[in-house]
Amino acid sequence: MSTTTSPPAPAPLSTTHHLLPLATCTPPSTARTWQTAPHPHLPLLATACADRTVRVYSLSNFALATTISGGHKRSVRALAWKPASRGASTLATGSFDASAGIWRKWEGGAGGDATSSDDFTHSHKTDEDEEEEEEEYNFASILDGHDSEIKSVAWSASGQYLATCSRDKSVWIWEELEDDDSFETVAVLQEHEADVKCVAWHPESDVLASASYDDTVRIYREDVDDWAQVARLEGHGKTVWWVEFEGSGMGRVLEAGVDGREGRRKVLEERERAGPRLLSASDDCTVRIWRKVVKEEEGGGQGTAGGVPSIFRKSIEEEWVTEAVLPLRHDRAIYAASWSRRSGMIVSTGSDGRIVVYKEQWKANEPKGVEKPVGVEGNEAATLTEWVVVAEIEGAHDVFEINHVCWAKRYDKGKRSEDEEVIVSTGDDGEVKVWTLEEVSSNNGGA
Amino acid sequence: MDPDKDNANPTILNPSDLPSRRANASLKKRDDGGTGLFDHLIPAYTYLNDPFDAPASASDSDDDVVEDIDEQEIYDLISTISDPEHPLSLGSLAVVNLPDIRILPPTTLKSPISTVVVEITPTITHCSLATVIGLGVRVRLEQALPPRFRVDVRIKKGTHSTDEAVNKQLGDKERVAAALENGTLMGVLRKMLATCE
Amino acid sequence: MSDIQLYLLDVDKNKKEASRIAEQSATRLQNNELKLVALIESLGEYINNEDFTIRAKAMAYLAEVLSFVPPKILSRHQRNLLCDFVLSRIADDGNGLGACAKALMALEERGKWDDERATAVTESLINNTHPLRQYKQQSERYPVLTLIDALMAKYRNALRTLHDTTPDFMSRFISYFDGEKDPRNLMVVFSILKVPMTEWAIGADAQELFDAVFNYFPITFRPPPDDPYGITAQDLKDRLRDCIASTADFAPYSFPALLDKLDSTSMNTKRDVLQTISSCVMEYGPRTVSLYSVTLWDALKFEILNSQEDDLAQEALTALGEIANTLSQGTTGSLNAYLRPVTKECNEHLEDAPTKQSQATGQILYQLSSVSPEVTNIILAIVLPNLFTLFQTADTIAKRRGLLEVYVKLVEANSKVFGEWRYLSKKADVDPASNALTEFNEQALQVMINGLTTAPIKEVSFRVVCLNGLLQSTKVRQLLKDEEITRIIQLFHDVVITEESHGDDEMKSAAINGLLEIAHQKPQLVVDRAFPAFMAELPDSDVDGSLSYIPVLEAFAKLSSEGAVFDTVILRLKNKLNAAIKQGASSAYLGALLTAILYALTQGSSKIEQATETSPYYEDIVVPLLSQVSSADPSLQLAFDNESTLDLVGRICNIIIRSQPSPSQSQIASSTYTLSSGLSQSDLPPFKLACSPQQTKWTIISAHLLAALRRDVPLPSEPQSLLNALISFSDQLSLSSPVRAASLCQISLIVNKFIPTSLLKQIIEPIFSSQSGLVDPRALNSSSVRVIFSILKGLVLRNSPLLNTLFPPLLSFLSDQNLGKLFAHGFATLLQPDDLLTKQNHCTISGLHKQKVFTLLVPEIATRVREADAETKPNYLIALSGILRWVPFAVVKEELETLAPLLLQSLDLEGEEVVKEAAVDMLEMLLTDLPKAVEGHVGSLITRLLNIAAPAVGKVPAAGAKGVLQDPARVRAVALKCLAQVPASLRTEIVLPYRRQVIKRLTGALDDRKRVVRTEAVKCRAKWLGVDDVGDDDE
Repeated sequence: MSTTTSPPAPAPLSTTHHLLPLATCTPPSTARTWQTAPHPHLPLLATACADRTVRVYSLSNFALATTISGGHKRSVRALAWKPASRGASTLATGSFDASAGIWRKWEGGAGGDATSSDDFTHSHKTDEDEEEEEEEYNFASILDGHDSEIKSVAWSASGQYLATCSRDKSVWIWEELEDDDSFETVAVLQEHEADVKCVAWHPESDVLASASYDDTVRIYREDVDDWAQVARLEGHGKTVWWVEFEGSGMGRVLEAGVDGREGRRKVLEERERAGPRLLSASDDCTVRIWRKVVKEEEGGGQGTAGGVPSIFRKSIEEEWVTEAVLPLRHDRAIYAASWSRRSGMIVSTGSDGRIVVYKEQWKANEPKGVEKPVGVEGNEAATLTEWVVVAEIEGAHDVFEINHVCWAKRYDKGKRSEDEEVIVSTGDDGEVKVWTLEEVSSNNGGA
Repeated sequence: MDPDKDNANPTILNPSDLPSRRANASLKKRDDGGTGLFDHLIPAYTYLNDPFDAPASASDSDDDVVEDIDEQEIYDLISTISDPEHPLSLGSLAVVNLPDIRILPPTTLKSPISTVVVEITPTITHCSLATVIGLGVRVRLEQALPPRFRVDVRIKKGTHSTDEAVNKQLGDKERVAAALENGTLMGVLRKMLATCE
Repeated sequence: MSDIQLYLLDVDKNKKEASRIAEQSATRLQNNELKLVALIESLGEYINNEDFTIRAKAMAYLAEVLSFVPPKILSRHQRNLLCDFVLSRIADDGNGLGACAKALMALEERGKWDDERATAVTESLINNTHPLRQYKQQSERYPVLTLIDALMAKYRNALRTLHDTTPDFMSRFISYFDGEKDPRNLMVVFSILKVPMTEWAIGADAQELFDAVFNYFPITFRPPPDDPYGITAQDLKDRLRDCIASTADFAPYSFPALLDKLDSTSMNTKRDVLQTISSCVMEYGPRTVSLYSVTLWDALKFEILNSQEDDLAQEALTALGEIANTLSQGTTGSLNAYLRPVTKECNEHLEDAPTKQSQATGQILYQLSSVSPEVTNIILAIVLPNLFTLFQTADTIAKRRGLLEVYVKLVEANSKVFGEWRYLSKKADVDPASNALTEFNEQALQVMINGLTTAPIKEVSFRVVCLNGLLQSTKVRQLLKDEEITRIIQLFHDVVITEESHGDDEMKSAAINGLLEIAHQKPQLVVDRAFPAFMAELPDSDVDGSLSYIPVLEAFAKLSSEGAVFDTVILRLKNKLNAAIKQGASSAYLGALLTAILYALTQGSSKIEQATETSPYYEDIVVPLLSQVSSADPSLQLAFDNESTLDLVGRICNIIIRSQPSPSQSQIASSTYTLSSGLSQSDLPPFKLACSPQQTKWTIISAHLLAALRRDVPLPSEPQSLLNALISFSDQLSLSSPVRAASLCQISLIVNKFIPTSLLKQIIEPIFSSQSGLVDPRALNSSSVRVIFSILKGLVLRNSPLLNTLFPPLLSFLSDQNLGKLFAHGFATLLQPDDLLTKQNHCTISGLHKQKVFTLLVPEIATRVREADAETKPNYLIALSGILRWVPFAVVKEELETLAPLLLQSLDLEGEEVVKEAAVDMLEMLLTDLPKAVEGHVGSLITRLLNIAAPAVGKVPAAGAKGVLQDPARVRAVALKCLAQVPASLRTEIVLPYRRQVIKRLTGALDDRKRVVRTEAVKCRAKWLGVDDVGDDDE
């Protein structure tokens, strides 16, 4: 072998948590799997497969519940469950065949699972529905419009909008019409100069973020009755593969640590006003945390209050700045990173087959004008908090690349608390793996 | 006569000059410098390995000697790919060259992942087929190498007008995956790889 | 009813019967029972019937009758009457034209016409039935065409005059055939039109005539599956081509038209065009061709310089060659005019060598230079000066290589036209002195010698070209002087002997082959120059232990394959051997020398076999060797103490002796066991058990001697006693395995060659009787089992009926706890090829012995294996595959279908790699030749092969970790080969379900420890990836 110049090997570090394999969903797909989405309220996982199907696994026993097939002519690349849709499970899929699919299933048969029983009340279905819709996800409608592969789909928090993006450089926003199953295009956003890799919605208001092959992230919101780009986030050196908003009100995670220190309180207030942050993961092996800069005229939190356009026209331009760059633990492209809506931790993964979990904490000692991390805008938080790696695992999918990772509610027998979370990873080996995050005893992770 | 070719008259290397593993090295190393001319003369006499004794595993005693996958092996895998324009191999067109192939060891002790970096040299700087060739190389290696290898195919610096763009494309897993689902493109690739047998 | 009535009744439903009636009418005419007039009258009403089909049939009747009438029955007058009658029919009734033509044909055959008649017939046909295509029935047109064809053939002058005298005749004639589509008819049309093309003065009509045929170009037609006329597309192509090439008058039209079609995108059309151009060039002659030569060159060159299909390029080259060939029959001026642009352009392409086009240039120049000395000389004069200038100014070695490659091509062509030393050129009147190459020779030699000697060793291709160039030069008749050739020889052996080894040693092997080829042209020079050099490199002794001599020895021995120097090679090697023995060289060195001699002998075996009576090689080689081996001189004893050395001596003696006639063998036979020790045979093995270790080893030599003897040669001892002696000798457990094998082999030889069938039973049976200890289960041990099977082996080859009774009891041992394995391997050896039990060694080898063993054992084993318990089952499987692997596939084929499951089971055997390998091989054969036999078992086949090739499911074997239970690399590799065959042989729908699984599992094999295995894995995986997942193509 030749002597080589390989990227700097991350120093081995002592972590506060262990990532322990809980289960591998069975049977695995024989083809590559791209992405997995946990159901909003049922113990289900939906996985997008290169074999043109969607595999639905049960989170309570990790067995295959259903395979959804027949809708797409090429790989299913991305999928998303419609939130707030009790009674019916609605799944959106995006495929390399340039179309997006909407699948619907009345709940009850879903995953054949106890926890879903409480939904019957909401499910309004007649008897003859019962027969045909047993165990079946129906291809409700197909969304055509993109010229080439769809790479990501996302529902807005309210479930009112669906966003799709594609290699054709455009982001489309669709709105479901009252008479079910038909969608109309409300916006086609073409600011990006190349493939759009990922779209993500704000957890509270109708704000959309998109990441692209052109190395940038864009933010859009509705201005009067027209959607427009409001921010262009630059900083990544290569393709941005993933964007995701922080859950709302995550400030609470750090509350505990404030213990009356003024600086820390101010940081949290500022954050409250700015609203949920955004993370982006890139081919340049970094994960960046972006924060919206609150303009003076904007009243506290107003910007985040459902995005009601104010009466007086004011520039809709927003400024987003990099607040932090997570510790460098990956030496190949990072394909996905996910923000726990419960613990505020971030998990990231990618081509190098590693899964890394990070957590934000108050810096032990107040920095006195310390030098700031490069490329990071000056602001309190950047200097008062820090992101640390709490867990890391190598070769999580044997030697294969990992395409996606996310958090999900834990449902299996072994769960220890109502809100316990697991990490779900999806790899080129066609496997969907579920991990638990165990605190290393005799060490409560600092903060 | 095919004027629409990017390069109708490429320079051709002579097969003798292409790097190759010493022919018999893979079998038996001959320390005597002989070519084994006489070997077939002395057939394995029934007594040389007696059929009655359980077959001497000596025949493969060197079986646990590991032959690592090395640059030459990578070269042999891709140099036989044929150019989409000419009935010639990428090796003989010097599109792939041994010195431009590197195997990077795992970056951490625990990591099982090695990386193969191949830099290709298009026959001319504006060769519109550079991407296709690169794709061919990447596909070939992804098919022929164990999954513990990550494959990075790049255009050699300064050998192509738009090398950066091409590199980014070749590096984009998603685009490659989508390309492989495109029937026509796959057709071209199959033709290129057909000569690899 | 009259014949005509009967005929009309039958003609539609029963053609045969109708013909019979016509024939009968003919006979009646012949016997005067029927007057011609009457016949005609009887036709009357029908010929004028308003139903035209009736009219036609009536004519058909007449035609048939006439065709049955023997010659000389109808008078010239009658024939004329009939002729006029038929012509009148043609004139006023188109119906039954075919019949009319047949009738006329019949009449013509019954008496040659005069020119007027011929002309009249032709004219009336063309005037009354023009154009022929108006007759829709092919069967109507065909007779007309054949008739005209016949007329063209038989009445050439008459018709030519018709053409000459009638102005518009030609155009009517040509247009007459317009629009013919039927292949059979076209064949005729082409042959008709070829006559005017070649024989008439067509001047003004040339274009019309040309178009008439060229309209069909490129002609394509796919004969119907059951084509009764057997006309192929090729036939049509050929005739059409002949037409186009038929006359130089076409040139103005044909060449432009053809070149225009050359731009077609269809490879077939291009091929057609190129071939047609070649034939035109050949036919049109120098004067015409000279007008188009340059135009043609400009078009043809593209096919070569930018070739896509090699065979098209070749066609184009041929055409270029033909042009030169034709022109060199004409004026020098026209030849120069052609070669000037060619050479000019070639010179240009040389400038950017080495490129695709400079390579093509080489081909062009080669093709042209091969035409004639004249062309060669012209080309050399123009190209070489430029080539060498470019060479001197070249900035890269690659470029110099490219240029020399072209030069070598020119030299090769040169030896084709000017001949080689040992072969005169085909052209008789070639004067080597006129060879223009001579002029550049010196410069060329200097350049190449320089390149060879000074270029860095890693510049393989460049040096190979230099070497090849020099070699080619040495061949050309009277080109080089002997000193020059000698110099080259020296360079070559320097490469072989002194040069350090590099890469695949392409240079060395090229140099050796070079020497061989020179030795073929100029043996003496090689012997004088190279041999001493080689000998000098071979030490008399290798006390220093260096192995440097091996490559030299190999190279030298190779030279023996050139008959001209064979004897000298042998002689030198022998002397070297003696020297080495005297100097007390190591047995390794002696071994090497002996091997070299053996190799040389096998190379020249033809020479040895000619040897009648006592071959000189016997006296020169065998006698001395044997006396040395058996000498009491301790130094010699030491030299020949080594078993493999003795084996080599044995082989050498064997190869020389075996071809000698019985009489001379008989003199040798007596000393088979004593060699030339002078001892008494009874004191030596096998007759005496306790002998000196050295004498015991002689058994190896005696085995080879015994093998060499013809069947009718008397043995040194009476067969039975000798056999028994050998049996007890082999039964000693103390023997070294070479010696044992040798004596066992002698047993097989005796049994096979020297026991007459008459005595076989009485000699063999006692040995296997329960009294004799040999097969007594309590006494059986590894050595006695070996003896048993060595006897069986002898019997098997001569296909002895004894086997029917001998096998069954032995089979039952397979289920024996202790001996089972031993017997299993025994059975496995039965058909194993042995290099002493061969036809050349005069063994009785029945063509059917393999089938015999197969039928005697396999079915039996197959049934027993099913009862066998887990412990002994492997024994059966081992025996089974051990036999199967040597039986011709054709024989096994049918059985294999049923045996497939057993083969699959053998894949599970632990440790029995040989068995597994055999089983895999057979399964692969099955897959290729009889896929359906495997279809049923695909699943288990695939799984088992995967288990062998990619063990430890999914997991990548940690580098270096030796899979304890894993099969050796060789077996893993064949398993992958076999697995690759699966998708190749079985229908997609069968293999598709396994595709994903296999592809995934194979990633394990891709990471195998061994390169050979990985290579196979890659191929295999590619095959499986190729299995088209129908879904994969988009919509």
